[in-house]
Amino acid sequence: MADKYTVEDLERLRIPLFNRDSCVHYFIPFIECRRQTYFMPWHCKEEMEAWNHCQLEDHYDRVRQKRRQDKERKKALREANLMAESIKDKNSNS
Amino acid sequence: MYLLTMSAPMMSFMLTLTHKEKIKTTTMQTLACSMIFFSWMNSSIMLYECMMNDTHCQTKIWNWMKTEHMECKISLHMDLLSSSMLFMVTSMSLFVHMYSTEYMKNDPHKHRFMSYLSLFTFFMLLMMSSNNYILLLMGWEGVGICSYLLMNFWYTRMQANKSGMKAIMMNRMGDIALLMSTMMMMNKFGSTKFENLTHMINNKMQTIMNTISMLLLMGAMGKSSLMGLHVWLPDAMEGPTPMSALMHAATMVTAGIFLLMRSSSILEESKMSLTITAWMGATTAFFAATMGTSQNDMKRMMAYSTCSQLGYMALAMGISKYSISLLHLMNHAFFKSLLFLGAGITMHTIKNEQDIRKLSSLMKQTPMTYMGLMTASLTMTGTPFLTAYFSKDQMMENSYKNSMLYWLATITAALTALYSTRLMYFSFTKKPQYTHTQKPHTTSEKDILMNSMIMMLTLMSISTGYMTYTMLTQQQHPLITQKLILTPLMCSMTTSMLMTTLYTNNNLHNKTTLTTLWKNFNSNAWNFNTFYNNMIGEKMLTLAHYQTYKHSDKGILEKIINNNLTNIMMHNSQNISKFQSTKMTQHLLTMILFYSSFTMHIKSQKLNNSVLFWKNTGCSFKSCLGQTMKHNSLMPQFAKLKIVK
Repeated sequence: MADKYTVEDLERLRIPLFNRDSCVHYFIPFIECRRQTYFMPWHCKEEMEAWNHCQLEDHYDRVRQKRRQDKERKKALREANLMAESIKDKNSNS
Repeated sequence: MYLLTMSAPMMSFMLTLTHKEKIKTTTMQTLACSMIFFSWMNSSIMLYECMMNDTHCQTKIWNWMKTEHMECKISLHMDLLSSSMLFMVTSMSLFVHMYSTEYMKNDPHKHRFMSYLSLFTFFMLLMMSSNNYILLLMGWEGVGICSYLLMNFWYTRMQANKSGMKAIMMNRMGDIALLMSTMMMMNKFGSTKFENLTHMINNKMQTIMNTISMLLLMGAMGKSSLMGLHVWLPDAMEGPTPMSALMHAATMVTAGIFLLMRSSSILEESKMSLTITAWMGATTAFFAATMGTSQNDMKRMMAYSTCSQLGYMALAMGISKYSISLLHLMNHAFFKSLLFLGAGITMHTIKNEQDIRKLSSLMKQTPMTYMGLMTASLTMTGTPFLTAYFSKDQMMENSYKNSMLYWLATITAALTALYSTRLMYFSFTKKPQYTHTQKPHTTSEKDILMNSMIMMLTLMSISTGYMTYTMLTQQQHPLITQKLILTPLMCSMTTSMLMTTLYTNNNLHNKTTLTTLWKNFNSNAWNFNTFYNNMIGEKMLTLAHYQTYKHSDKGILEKIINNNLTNIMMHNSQNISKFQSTKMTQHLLTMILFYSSFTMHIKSQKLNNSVLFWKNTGCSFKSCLGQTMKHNSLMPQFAKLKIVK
């Protein structure tokens, strides 16, 4: 969903750089609503909830991805160690 | 509009200072307040423009200097940071100007006071809206001068003089550091403009970036009284209370924090300085809070509280949360000014008494002030849904990346609750202890203007945080557990309740040796003053006396200059003065000698010129013509004519 906005669109909509992430499609309606309601904190609750939820899901995704990557890296390391040991054993036997 | 915003306080300063005998006091006060109100109106429009429309603009006023290597223009820069600061400064200045009209009504020098306040506002606005470091430095220095003038307003008091000198001396260290960083920027980048610097800096210049950012941090330490250069702030409370509310709570002390915010692009390139800033902030917050717990002077306690809150702001910047720091800065301005202005009314009620042990049961005499101070205290402790809660809460959550910083900030929150409760209990709820002569006069709360200022600031202390946190911070809360979010709040609430219970049950009179030692250590401000006096002040004085004065000034230089050079000069001058006698013949001889030598000199010069001329014309015709064509302007006119012939 976030891909449908081009850099020009984001420039035109005056989206800050640090908010141009995978949840930008939720952030845009939220900030538009904020601007229309003069940043009054009691407005735009739904839009904010949606954006927060997206950020949270994104965070969980990243954590899951990181864990998967760590697991794969450990597995690869273990396999490489086993391989190295087996080569060492073969060499010593020969 | 930008220029008008800036010039209104300057005009107020000029009019109040120069026309003090022609204008009535009330007219002068109205004029000063209306000028600041005009400035406030303009800054509100600017804030609206920058915040709602996301605009930022630059206005060139004039070219100040242009050299081969750099160019300096006097131009103003307006963005969200500048406009927020401008709004905050003009609001505070307006409140303090209006409050001062009542507070200083019996002072014979109120013209001078109002003019200094206006001048201070002008320099603050200049600093906040500058677009390069040189202009910022001008505002910075101007603010320092005004601080000295206002601190030393009652100049007949020795303590005021001392505190003024101390503030100037401590601030100078920071000023020198800022000046050095500006010079370094000029040398390395050829520009001091914020925008240019943001685009020029890169990772490759790590050593330069580290040095510049450390110098900037040192500059901020001086002005914002961070640990090490903080000793001037508690002593600065010698000045009038409205001045303390404006400068040492809301505006001037935040100049250092503003400098760091403005230099965020430089700070971000140096991880070392960011870490130092965070630790500096956390330790300042902690140690100032501990000192605040043992103070008995109401205003000094508030000064340490300011120091502690500034530490929080520095901590937020150290963890790269500039928007949260700005939010806390704005919130702090409102609730701390309320505390100071309320303290002013309290002091007036009980004959300028500042010692909280001598104040008691003022709740009945000053109910409105009590309400205001109570709100400010609760805000300061971070009570939910009051102003400071929105900034402090986010700051704590974000600092959890480094758990040490988080726990230091949490302990500081508890200590803040402790000294706030102590202040409120001793000043307002404790049983009366004053003697008959000190009995409060009940007229102090009848000043409508002062009370209305307190009321307005109370409302702002409640609502500012809630209204502005959506505008200034567009960032997510960090994902940490609910326990960690609630810990600082629980700590401060528990401390408040515990202290109130202990005070009301009189359980705090059992003094042990350890508590007495701790209290003395804190009330002596961790012996920073002793350290500075014994280790730096005295050593410097000894060095200055023995080395510079005795050995150098009165020693070597005296022997060389006074004994030898002076004697030679004296001898020669005596010889020359012999010519100036009353004898006519001598005078005539001198005249003739001078005239003949002068004529000889002129003639010899003419001879030289003619030799040179014939040397030039003695060369071949073609080369001479070529020379005249090349150096047309250099050759004498008659020579050219002769060559052509």
